[in-house]
Amino acid sequence: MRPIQFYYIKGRDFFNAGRTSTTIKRHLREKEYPPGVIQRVAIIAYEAEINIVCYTDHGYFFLYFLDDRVRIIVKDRGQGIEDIDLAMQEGFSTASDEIRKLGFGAGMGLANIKKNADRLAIRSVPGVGTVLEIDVLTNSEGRSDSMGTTLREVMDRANLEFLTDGLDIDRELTGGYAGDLLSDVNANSSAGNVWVTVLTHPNVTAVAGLKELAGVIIAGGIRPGADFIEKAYSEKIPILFTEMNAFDVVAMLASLGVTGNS
Amino acid sequence: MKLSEIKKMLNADLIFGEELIDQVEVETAFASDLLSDVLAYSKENALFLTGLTNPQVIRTVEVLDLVGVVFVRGKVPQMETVELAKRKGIPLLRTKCIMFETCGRLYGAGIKASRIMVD
Repeated sequence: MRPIQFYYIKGRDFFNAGRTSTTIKRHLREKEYPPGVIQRVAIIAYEAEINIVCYTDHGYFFLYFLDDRVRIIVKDRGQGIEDIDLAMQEGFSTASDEIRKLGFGAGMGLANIKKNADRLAIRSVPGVGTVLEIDVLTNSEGRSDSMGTTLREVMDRANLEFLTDGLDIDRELTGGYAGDLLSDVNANSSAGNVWVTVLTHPNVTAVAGLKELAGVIIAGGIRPGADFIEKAYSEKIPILFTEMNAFDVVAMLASLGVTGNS
Repeated sequence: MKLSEIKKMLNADLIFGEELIDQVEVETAFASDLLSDVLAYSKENALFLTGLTNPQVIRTVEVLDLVGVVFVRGKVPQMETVELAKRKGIPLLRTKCIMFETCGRLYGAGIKASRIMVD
């Protein structure tokens, strides 16, 4: 089975709610994960799936089988969450009567996801949607304060060349963005993202600095000049270089669990 | 205890699982009309007692590896629920006992709680 699985989940489809989660559970069984891990991932997926069905137009799961963990990225186009702290509290719910009649809407969903996860990150924009990033460690049944992927892990995995020795590449990445139009990246990337581009103009580092990106991977094999590196140091933006083309770099990032913001 | 014995004890109708009720062994149970609470608190292999009748009951059983469902208060499961249970091989019983009575009879016969306390 491929290391990344994609599942589309339709909102308001109450009959099929849970189908994706049971499919995921079957995949985990086939891959012979420990029963406790399978159980936790299944519960997390089911709660997340129910949330998509109950509260959104549609959403999707990315499921990653990583070296030491199973990662689920849940993205939806829905109403978003106004107050995440409040939503995390057991018993808090905005469910309709219809949802409550199904036996949901008890305000346990997010709390239950958190309880079963080793790591949970939530981003939400009211009126737009919500992204959950959830890790379940596979090497132990216990919980830990594990971190997400860093630029250093990316560099080590794909043998990237580090052009700005001394700059910080140990921050947890918040996701990634790929693009060769500065205005597009300026508009759509988010702080803490890694940016994949073939551009070697020094303005790349200015945009990266402005957007507080975690770093830039220069793909495609055209090496940036000295003025670029100098500017990168002054903006404190780590620069990595590779001969790989941009598509392969993005695929490699995805295999490490780094996803886009959309 | 076999599910077939539980059927007798509750004067229950068998909705699905003729071939299953003599095989399925029940040691613990979880009773709730809130699926999120089942997901939060139940452990695997429990018998699920509920008044809910929609297909999500079966999805929840599947996600948690529960052994079967007893519909209480005489509730009749929806057709889609029964169809899904058949596909997944999950036995279904229906009793006219209310939840309290159902739990009491099972507990009296030695069936234990799926979880003793919630912390």
